[in-house]
Amino acid sequence: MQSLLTLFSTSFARLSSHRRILFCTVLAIVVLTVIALSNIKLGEDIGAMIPDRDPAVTRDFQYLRNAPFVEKVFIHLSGNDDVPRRELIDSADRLASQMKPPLFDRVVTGVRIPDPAGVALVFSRAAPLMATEGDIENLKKRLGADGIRRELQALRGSLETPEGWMMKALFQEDPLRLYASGLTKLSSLNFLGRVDVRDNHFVSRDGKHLLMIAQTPVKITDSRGSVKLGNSLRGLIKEYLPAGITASFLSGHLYTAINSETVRKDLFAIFTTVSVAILVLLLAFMRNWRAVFVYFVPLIVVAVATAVVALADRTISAMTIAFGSVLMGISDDYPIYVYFSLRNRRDPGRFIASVARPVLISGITTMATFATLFLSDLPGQRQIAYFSMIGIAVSLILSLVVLPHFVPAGGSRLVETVPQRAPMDGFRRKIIIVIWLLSMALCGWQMTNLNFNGDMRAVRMVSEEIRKTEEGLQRVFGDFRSHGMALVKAPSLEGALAKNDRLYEALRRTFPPGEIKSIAPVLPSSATQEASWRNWSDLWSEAKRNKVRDLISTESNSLGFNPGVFSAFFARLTQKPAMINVETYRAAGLGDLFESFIQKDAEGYRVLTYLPDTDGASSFFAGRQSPDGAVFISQKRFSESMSRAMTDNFFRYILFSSLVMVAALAFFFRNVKKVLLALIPVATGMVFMFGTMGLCGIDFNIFNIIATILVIGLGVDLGIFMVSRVTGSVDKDTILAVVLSGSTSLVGLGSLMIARHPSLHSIGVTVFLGMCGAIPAAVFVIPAFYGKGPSESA
Amino acid sequence: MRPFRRTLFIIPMLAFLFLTPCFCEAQDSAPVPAPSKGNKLAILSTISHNTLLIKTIRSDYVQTRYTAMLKEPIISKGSFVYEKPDRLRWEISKPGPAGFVVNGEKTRRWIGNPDRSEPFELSREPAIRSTVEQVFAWARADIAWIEKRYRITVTGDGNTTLALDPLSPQEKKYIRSIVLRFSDDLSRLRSVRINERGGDSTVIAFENTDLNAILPRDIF
Repeated sequence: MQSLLTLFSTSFARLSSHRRILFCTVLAIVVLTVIALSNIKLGEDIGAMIPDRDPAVTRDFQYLRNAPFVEKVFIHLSGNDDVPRRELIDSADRLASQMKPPLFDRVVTGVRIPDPAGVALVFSRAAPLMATEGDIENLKKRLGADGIRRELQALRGSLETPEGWMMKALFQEDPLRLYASGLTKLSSLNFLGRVDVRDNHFVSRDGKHLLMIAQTPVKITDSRGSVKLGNSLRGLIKEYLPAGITASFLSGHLYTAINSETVRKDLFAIFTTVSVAILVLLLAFMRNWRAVFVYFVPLIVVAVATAVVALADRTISAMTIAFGSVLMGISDDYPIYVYFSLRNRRDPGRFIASVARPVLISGITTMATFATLFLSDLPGQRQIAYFSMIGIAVSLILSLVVLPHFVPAGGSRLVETVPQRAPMDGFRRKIIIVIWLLSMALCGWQMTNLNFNGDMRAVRMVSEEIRKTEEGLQRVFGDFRSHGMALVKAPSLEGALAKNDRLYEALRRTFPPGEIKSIAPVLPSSATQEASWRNWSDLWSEAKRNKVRDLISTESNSLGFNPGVFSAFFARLTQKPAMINVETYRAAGLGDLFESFIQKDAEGYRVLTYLPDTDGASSFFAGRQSPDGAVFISQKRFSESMSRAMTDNFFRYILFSSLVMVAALAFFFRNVKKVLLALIPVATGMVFMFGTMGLCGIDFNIFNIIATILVIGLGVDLGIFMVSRVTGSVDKDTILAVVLSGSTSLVGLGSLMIARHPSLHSIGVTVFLGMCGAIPAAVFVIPAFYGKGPSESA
Repeated sequence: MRPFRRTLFIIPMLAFLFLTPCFCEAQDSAPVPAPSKGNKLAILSTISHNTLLIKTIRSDYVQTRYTAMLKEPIISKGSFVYEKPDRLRWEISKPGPAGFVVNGEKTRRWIGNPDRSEPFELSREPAIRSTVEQVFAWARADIAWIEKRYRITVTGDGNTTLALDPLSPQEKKYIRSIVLRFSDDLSRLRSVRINERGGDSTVIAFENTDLNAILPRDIF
């Protein structure tokens, strides 16, 4: 250690005669950094804040991200009481016609069946392949004389209607309306909750609202594209909707756009505020133009750290950049301390070694604290870890190697150490300690009310517009966007459909049929279709066919039908129809219905089933009932997993950083009392922060983990400086340095409080609370506990 | 199929009533004289002109449907009342009493006693909905719209028969042509014949027609 400290004195001496080279070197680094920053790519992907070391959470996140609804735009049209539904529908069609590429691929306003008779014919012919045992039992009941008479009477009545004209061919082929059960099964594809299809459009039950679903090629991670998409749609709504009809829309893009815009604005506001505020503070405290050299250190630190991370990772998270303001507030502590310790020294080189000791202890301890973030499961937090560590390392180098050459020298300070302050009197000590203990007890009690909230939605920016649209959509059309998804996958579609059949059977035994939205009833696998055909063939034995033929002949004759009019029906009873597949439905104009249920990627096919996102569904899939490795993807469970991961991470950080911090302090101070004293600001800051959060009902979110690390890092800095101060190993300006560095840290962190983005704001508020505990503890409680003047301890 | 749906059959035919000068006899303005022979544009112009003068219609009808599926044709009788722009009352008397009313966005239907009518959702009855929409659209005498849907030709020996061939592939699948037969002076529509693919057909004859009569207030 001593040799390292001596190295700084030696380097000072050597560089004193080459200050121009030193200056040019720093300048060159700055220029290179600026060039590197000009190509920086800002990452706004929320994936940076999703654990990537837990396969289950990573898998759930990927599935949620690729869910069919995620990249769709939901447009909610509302008409006032005077607007007829026809006008609402016409307006929706007009708006849809204007939503064109490149921003919109397709707009779905409802379900259009171009050829109802054709669709009925498809279901009629497919009936033998999709008939369940229940269907066959129902059919058996209709094959008596009464049942057949009723069917033929209804059929004759239909012949008088326009529908009868269209369905004539179908009636001859299917006098028993076998198609009807297939049509009923189509309802299993309706996952849109409280949506009715009227006039081919998705309309609310009161007819006053209409839902449109737009497909866009714009990726949800494309913030510029998302902004453009939102602006374009707002413009179209304004231009093409008449008075009395309003529209709002919701999509992941809207969240991306608002979060991106907010973060960009926040970054500008934060950096402007923190840059100006730190400069003003430095000038105010130092009262010397050379304060700008101290000011340059955090500026260079943030620039270099940003450039290095951006070059290493290709993209740098917006959260990391925002963290730059915090880094400014932390990294200026070291130059401030160096400046105050060396200013006006006749021979600064002689004192660098003694100054370097607490600076290095503080810097290395803070770096070690940040290093605990490497344990994080969140890539974004790991990026913040090395961003901060690089920044602190750069700050230490600049502070101990470069800055001493720019500190005003040659003053009147001749003594190395002097008694700086009188010992604190006993009464004052006791008062301070009692107040501190009471505060700790109160905050410790309130800490028990602290709530961990792992829901990422709690820390994303949600504008009033989005919030109202979310509420409106949910109120009118139901909460279809937050359905749970069960999925099965296989290399082939056939394999996935077979698994889907088994899943549907298992679900059907547990959940009410209306809650399961699945393609299994209308698109069974080939194996299931074969089984259905076997059951069908068993039903239509020769004896059965003859009996039904006689009954139909008798009843149709009495109702005035020509002889032989239903001969096609009997011909097809024994002919195995072509197997049903997606193409079968696509040819009938129903292909779109399957889009939200079947997904294909490089690994094969996924077939989705939608279920309410309930605990019951989660436990079903967690238990043994779930067949074929079907997984349940649930927003709710994902939030719980995030919360769990966050809690695990948090306690890991606290444990590890505490160990690192104590080890570092023990190594440097080699004195139990000093170590414990240095820990007072950290402990106080943390307890005050958590206690106040518990008291005020502020949830502890994923970003508050970073806040905790900051409080630890900053708190230990303050502790080291103050312990050095009270033990007399540094001069009287330490208090000033502590107050100034504490103030700049508060400014750096406090600037996050002006952010509108919840995650940044949350970090700002919580660290501010922590520092509000740590700074008074450092300034008042450490001396109170130490109880002696520095001269006594020397 | 519910019996009331029998009433639907006539609805597409109503459209043609609005296109014909037969309802213009009672108009204050004189109907436009019949155009020269074979002049389709003039005929359509006359129809359009006279249709725009109509405010209300009341008429009886007899509908005869011929289908190869049945030994005998199906005959139904009834009447209808229309008032511009979006009111329609349809009543069937034979084979059984039934009917429905469309009054703007409000709809009611009944089987048997009209006093026991109940509301129904037009959008859930695609056949009624499409035909009612067509009636109202034709009532606007929008010839351009009609020509988008049908190829219109003047057929027969005289200047009294129009044949409408559907242009939409969907409609073409089921309807081969619609033939409108007028009186010699084009002042009256005698009948409408719908020829389906496969040989089936339907003929509707109109009688006892009143135009622009004052209608009872509560009829809709």
